[in-house]
Amino acid sequence: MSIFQIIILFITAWMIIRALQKVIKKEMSNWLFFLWIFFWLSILFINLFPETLSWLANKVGIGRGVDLLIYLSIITLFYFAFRYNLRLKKHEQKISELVQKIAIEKAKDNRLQK
Amino acid sequence: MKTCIVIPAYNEGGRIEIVVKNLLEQNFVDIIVVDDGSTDNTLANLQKLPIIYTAHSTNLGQGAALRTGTRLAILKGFEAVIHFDADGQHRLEDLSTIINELHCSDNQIILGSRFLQAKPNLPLKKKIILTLAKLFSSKILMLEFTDPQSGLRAFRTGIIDELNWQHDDFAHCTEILSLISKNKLKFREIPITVNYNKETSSKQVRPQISLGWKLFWAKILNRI
Repeated sequence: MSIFQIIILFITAWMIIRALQKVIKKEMSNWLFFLWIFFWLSILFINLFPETLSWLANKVGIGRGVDLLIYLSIITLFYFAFRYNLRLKKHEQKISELVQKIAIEKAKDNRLQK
Repeated sequence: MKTCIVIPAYNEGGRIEIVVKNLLEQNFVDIIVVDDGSTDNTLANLQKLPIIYTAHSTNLGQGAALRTGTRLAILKGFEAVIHFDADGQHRLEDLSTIINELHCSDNQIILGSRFLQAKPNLPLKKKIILTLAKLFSSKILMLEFTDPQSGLRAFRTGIIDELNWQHDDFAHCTEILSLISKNKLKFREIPITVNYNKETSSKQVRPQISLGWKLFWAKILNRI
C-alpha cells in the first residue's frame, strides 16, 4: 500500500466518524448520512482497488480511470455550485422581503406632530 | 389626488435634510424617507421633521428602498407616488410639473427625462455613459424611452400590480420601463433638468458594465 493510499484511508475513516457523530447528534439527516457514507465508501473502495476505476473508465469509453474521476468531480462540483447559487439567491430574496416588511411595520409618522 | 413623495436614502449625510426641508417649505407635506441601511447619520436629523420615515436594517439597494416606500404610501392611502432622489439632484420645479401632469392628464405614469431638454446639462462622463446605456436599452432590451436611468417618476398607485418591480438594485429603473412597455401602461416623458454639483457628480454613475451584463441576462431569461 502506497503512502497516498494510507492518507486516503485515514481521511475516509475520519469523514465516516464525523458523519456518524453528526447523525447521532441529529445535526445531519439520515438520507444525507447515507449519501455521505456511500460517497466515502466508494472513495475507500477505489483507493484500495484502483484497477476497478480503470475498468469502469474503459467501459464508458474514457482512457484512464483518473480522467473519469476528474470528469465526474467537475460535473459534481458544477452541479453543487449551481444549486448553492440558486439557494443563495432564494435566501437573499427572503432576507430582502423580511427587511422591507420590518421597515414598513416600524415606520414612524411625524406628520401628526405638526 | 392624495400624492406622496418617496425618497430612498443611503449615506446621504446632511444633504437629505436640506432636500426634505426645501420640499416642506414648498408645501410638499407628504414625504416618506426610507433609509436603506445607512452607516452615517442620514436619518438622525430627519426624525424631528414632520414626515414619515423608516429604515432598512441592512443595505438592500435603491430598488428595494423605493418598494418599501411605495408599499408604505399605499398602506397610508395615497393615490399617487413620486420617486425623488435624496441628493438634491432633482429640482422642485420639475417635481411640480410632474405632479401637475399626472393630476391633469389620464397618464398612469410620468417619467422625467434628462435627454428631452434642448441642451442636457450632463457632465461629459455621464453623457457618454448614459448615451451608451440608452443605446443598450433601445437596441438590446428593445425599450424605446429617452432616459433609461432616470430616478424621477410619478405614478398612480392603482397600477402597482402591473408595476411590481423585483430588482433591489439600480436595475429597477430599466425593469420599471420594461413593465410599462409589457403592460402597455399609459405614460409620458417630460423634460427635466438635473442639478449636478461636485458632491453629487462624484457619486457612482448608475449604469455600470456589471449592471448592463445583469440586464442582458435578465432579458435573455425574460425577467425584465
